[in-house]
Amino acid sequence: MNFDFSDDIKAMTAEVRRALERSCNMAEVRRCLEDGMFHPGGLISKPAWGVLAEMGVTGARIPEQWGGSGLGMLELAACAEEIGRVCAPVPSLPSVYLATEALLHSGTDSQRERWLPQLARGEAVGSMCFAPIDADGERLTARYAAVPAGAVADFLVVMSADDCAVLIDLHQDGVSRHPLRVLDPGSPMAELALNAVRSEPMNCPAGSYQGIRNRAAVLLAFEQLGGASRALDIARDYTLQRKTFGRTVASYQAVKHLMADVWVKNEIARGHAYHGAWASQTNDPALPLAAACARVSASEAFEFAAREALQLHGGIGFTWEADIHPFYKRSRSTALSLGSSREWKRRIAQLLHRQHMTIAHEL
Amino acid sequence: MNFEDSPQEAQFRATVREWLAANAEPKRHPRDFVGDGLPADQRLAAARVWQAKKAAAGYAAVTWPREFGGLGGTPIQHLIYLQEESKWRSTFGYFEIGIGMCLPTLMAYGNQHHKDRYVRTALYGEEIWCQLFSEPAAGSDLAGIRMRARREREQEGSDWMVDGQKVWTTGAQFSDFGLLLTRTDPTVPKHAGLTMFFVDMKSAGIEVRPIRQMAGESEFNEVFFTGVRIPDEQRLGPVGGGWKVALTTLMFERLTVGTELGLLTAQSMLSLLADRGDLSDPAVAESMADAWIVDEGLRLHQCRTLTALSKGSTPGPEQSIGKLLKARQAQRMSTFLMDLAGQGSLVVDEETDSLWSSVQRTWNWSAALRIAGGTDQILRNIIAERVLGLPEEIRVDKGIPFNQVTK
Ligand SMILES: Cc1cc2nc3c(=O)[nH]c(=O)nc-3n(C[C@H](O)[C@H](O)[C@H](O)COP(=O)(O)OP(=O)(O)OC[C@H]3O[C@@H](n4cnc5c(N)ncnc54)[C@H](O)[C@@H]3O)c2cc1C
Repeated sequence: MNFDFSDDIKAMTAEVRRALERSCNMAEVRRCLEDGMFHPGGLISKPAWGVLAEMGVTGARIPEQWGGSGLGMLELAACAEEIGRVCAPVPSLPSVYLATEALLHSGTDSQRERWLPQLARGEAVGSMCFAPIDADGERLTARYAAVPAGAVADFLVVMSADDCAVLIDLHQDGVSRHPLRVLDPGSPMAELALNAVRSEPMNCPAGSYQGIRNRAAVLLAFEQLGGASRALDIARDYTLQRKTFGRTVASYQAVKHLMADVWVKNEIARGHAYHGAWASQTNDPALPLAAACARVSASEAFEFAAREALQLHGGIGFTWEADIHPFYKRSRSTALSLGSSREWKRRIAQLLHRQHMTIAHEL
Repeated sequence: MNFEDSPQEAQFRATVREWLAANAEPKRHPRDFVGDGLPADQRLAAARVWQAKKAAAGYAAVTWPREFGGLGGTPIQHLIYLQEESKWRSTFGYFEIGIGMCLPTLMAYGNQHHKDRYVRTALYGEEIWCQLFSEPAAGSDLAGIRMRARREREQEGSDWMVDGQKVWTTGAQFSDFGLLLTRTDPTVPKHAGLTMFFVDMKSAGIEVRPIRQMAGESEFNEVFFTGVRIPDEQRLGPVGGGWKVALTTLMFERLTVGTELGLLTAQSMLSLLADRGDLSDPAVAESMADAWIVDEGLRLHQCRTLTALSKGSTPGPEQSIGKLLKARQAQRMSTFLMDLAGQGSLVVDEETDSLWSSVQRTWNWSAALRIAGGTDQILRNIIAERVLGLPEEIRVDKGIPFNQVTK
């Protein structure tokens, strides 16, 4: 047994962390959020996205023949934690964990040829919707209410629960975009209206829908984990320097116990996230359950950490200038992308039930 | 990253399996232990027989050095042994405190004679040990104990005379020896005046009185010491150095208590809910998922710990997470299941091997586990201070001689 990242992966993520800390500090995050508040939809942190492209993160899973780094799920997962740590306003979920993965697993040769090299260089942004597909031949008319990165995406993959998928180039007539005002401007969304646009079928093997959701859930769990441990660091640093009644706030037991509880939840979420990464990498039959556990525990850990870290700031925690609100917002938006914890918990129970019946049947 | 056994681990697992198949009896239900159903003394005798077999094969303490009767194995091998043994009847409730906590302390602080004389007999189940730490006025604040040890004569090497009371001593009624924390100097601040001994429980002046516990059984005891003589030879560590020795024991305690509590697991909760057909109820399904995430999360946390240990790190305060989560989880799960079943679940299930009796047992025992071996609050303090580096609790008795602190 060896349940840890390799030294190579640790060295790689340490570099990604340094680069992200330089290019995407909290001032940059706030600037993007501000941009997003007043010019909904359009934002991406260019410096952060540039670093991710330069360091091979956007193309981590893309084979070298298309300009990527040909790395595995473990490498990408470890980098995702760093993206979450700095709360980077970048379309990592829609473009890297979803659209790129969809192309890798279900794209036709020409679709890959066309998009993967641009994705690897960070020049193109993809997005993805999970919805029924009602195409009339090659023409699609549809309205998608809240598409992540919808205002800037260059193409969209739509995948249905029965494993059909199409790819739509968003630079064509018939596409109209309406950027939306959202609670977390760091994860912007837009409404997309498609009017008889050209849609290209993809080659989806059976199981693609759930497979891609499972893998994305694991990658997103790492982002959430990064956010959760950063939120704890921020709370710790703030309460150690703030004094009330002649004592540091961090010396009050109610405050210490709260942070201990945050740490415990984070540790549990970390175990599940690692397990999910291992199951994605090895395509183990445990993946569906591991991914669901990673998703739920990371969502809950991040929300708890961010919410209580904000609380521990007192009034300053509610201001734009404090570093904690981007995490509070991101913890809510990431808990809802890919479906809420409630849905995933029911899935866990279903999978467990099925597992139990199979074992009972075999006995 | 992988979960597979390495070739050496697989080899070890195969050897263990073969040995268990040849020497153990299969378990008929999760709480099926050696000697179950026999009267107390015969049950203990049966447990000793099994312990001796295990010890002869080296499995009673996989990670101990061979010179002490262990296998010199890794923590992962220890886990492999426990995983395999869990499918067979073994023992519970006699040897954990001795082998898990007292003997490792003796091995760390005792002399060669101690090691030769006491380690092997404990390992083989011939002698049982208990932990005489807590007192009526000192549990969480263990350094505040009052049991007084005085030299019989004011000279180096003199025997010690011990007076006072211990409480909550698990297994004292059938123990041969006890690890004993005493106060030898009340005129210095509390941590500095402690000294550790081990004591023969048959010594004149020791009286063990069982305490009836909340659920009716009597596993723990009051232990009264009146003029008990202890040879200086049975002192562990220097005079006044008892606190450091106690911390060693407590570190081993957190590792022991965190491992196998013998309570309801998320897996048995799943069987129960599946059999009752309750999982289609979304609220039930969500609670099932919550329980699973904690149990499985702890298993995965343990895998991370073992990986770190096998790379050479030592177990630290992070280990507090196991007991902290397990005890609360057990209380939550058992309460939830009883809620589902309604008032009828209050009727004691007389079938001791049924799932419902395990729910009821868990409901009773989870309350104890949140207290024993460091309360929930103390474990959170440890995590906050030693893992997160937050300030220590304010101590109004800090630096004040023990006999001048207002009590
Ligand atoms: C089943 C069982 C078996 C046991 N077996 C043994 C044994 O074999 N040997 C042995 O020596 N002991 C044993 N114990 C004793 C156990 O270690 C103590 O009960 C435990 O350490 C708590 O001490 P206490 O009972 O004095 O409670 P107290 O220390 O008086 O605590 C009372 C309450 O105050 C809280 N509290 C105390 N200090 C703080 C603080 N600083 N911050 C916040 N909250 C605080 C506690 O969490 C608790 O809720 C056993 C206990 C049980 C329940």
